[in-house]
Amino acid sequence: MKFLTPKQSSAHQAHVRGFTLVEIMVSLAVLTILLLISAQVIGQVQSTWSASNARVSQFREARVAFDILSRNISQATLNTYIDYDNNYLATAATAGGSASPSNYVRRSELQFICGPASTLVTSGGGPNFLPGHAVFFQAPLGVTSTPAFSGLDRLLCARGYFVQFSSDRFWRPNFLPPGNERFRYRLMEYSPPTEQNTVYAYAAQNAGNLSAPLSRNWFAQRAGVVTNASQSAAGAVMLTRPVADNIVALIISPRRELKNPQEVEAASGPTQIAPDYTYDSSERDNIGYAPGPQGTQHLLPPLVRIVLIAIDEKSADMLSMGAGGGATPPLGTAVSSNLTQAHNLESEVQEIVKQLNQKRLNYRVFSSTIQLRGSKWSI
Amino acid sequence: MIHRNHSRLGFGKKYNQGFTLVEMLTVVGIVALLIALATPALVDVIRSTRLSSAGDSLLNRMTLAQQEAIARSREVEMRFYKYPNADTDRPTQPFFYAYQVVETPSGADARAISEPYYIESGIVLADKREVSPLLLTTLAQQKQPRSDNYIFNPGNGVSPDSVQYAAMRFYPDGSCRMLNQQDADSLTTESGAAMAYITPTLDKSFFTLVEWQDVTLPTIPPKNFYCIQIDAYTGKARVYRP
Repeated sequence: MKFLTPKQSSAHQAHVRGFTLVEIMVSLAVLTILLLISAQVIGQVQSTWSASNARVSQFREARVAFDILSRNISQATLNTYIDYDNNYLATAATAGGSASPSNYVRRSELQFICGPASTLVTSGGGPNFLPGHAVFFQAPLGVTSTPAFSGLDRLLCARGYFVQFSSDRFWRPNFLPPGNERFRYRLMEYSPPTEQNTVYAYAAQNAGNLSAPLSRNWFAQRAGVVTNASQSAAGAVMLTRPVADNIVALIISPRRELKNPQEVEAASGPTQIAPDYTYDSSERDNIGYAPGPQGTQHLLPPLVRIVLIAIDEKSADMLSMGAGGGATPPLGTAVSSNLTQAHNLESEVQEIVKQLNQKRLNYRVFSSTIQLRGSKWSI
Repeated sequence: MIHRNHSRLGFGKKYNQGFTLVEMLTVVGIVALLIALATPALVDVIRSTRLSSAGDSLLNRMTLAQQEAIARSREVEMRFYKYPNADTDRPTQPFFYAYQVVETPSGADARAISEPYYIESGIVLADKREVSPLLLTTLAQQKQPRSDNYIFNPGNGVSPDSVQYAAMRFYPDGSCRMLNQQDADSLTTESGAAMAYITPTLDKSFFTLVEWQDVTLPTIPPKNFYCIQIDAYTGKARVYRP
């Protein structure tokens, strides 16, 4: 009965009375502020974590690719041999073999060639799809798909490297449902197994003419994944693979050794054997300063400077949000248009990097000078 | 006293009144309905988690085998075992249920360098050409010539000589090759072609983990899968999920 006194009852009522609207709004506001702050902190931590994670894993792939590229390019082979001169071979055929040789020349059926990717890879989609440079060479790598050849670990194979902007549908397992194509700049490796190496087939065609450069058909039409659907013939053997995603530029610059330790980069400096980055071992080039009438024909460059520019997956994702559903190369000619003079390589790379910075891309530049073990050079 | 107690009870009853039977039934009914609705989705989630974990551990062990080859500077082989499972709830035809890492030194018996790993129950490696071109070529497991025993014994009433295996070999330079994968379209186990380790092309270099109720169905792609594609030149693996 004591409970039911009016005073007590009213006190009781005050106790269980609900919150007022104002109280609830204040508490909600405080709660919202707390939530917002913690969401922001969590978001920041997450983005930092994922950014650093993407950075580490992405550039790991690029680093591995750079190692593979360096290792294989250093094994490039020309198998240069000495043969009688052109004149003798030409006259011997007509004069019934009565002419006698007057001098020796270097010869080789193999080729080391580098230059702008869009001129070397003819079926790759044009300059926007093929930024930077390409290099093609022969090396004893022993890759084969024929059981009869397995175990022959020094078989001659063609290899090539270039950057191509492409979809991943060319190598996705074809039972997968279509869709979710990923368009990326990728470092591609032209790596036909040895039985698909056709370099000797074309070498035979100009056997009579030693001064003409060798045919490029052993890679030109075959390297690169095609960019439009009508070109992708069913049953075609896949000769080009991606080695790493999100590589936006590959720069190849053949160099000679420094003449003296003080020699500086200049038009007549170490890059003079390929002043505009192009080098074809089967061409009679650089006759002015290389000894003999053949110049650098059938010689491997002694050194090759390789620069690889990689971006991370997050940046690439951002780039692919752009026009054309991601199918148009987002960087356009930003890379190719900046590569003209080999002795300005440093500043040209700076220029490319500046453009990547403008697009707020997270990038890394890998650079190294490789010695070609097979090079017999004395300039 | 009694009266007061009673009145108190009555007072309390007003506030602590229990639920009626109808209320209870409604609540239990709703809970049951929710559980019933959620279960199929939950079972799917559990299954696909199983598939992922089976795939992830296979992927990790492949990487480990590759590292092993580099570290030992020797060839290391991964074998995928295909055999009929004696369990009554399983299909009677042979499937890939296990894998193991072995070493094959020349002039000596092959040696297991890991325990056999059994793929989680309910998951197998598909053996269809469309989804696993890498696993088409299989060899019958033979007795080791010197020690006169089998490397892998599935146990459970399955004879070790009924075991077939597909093999992938890792090399010290990081590359890997498959046992006789040339021309997956024409080659079968029976063709008697020379067995050799060769480099498959990237677009045909993959195999797929599926749930075993999907493995015999003709549906391509399977309902759920874990497809591992290997770049034979670098040993790098990519994963494709639905």
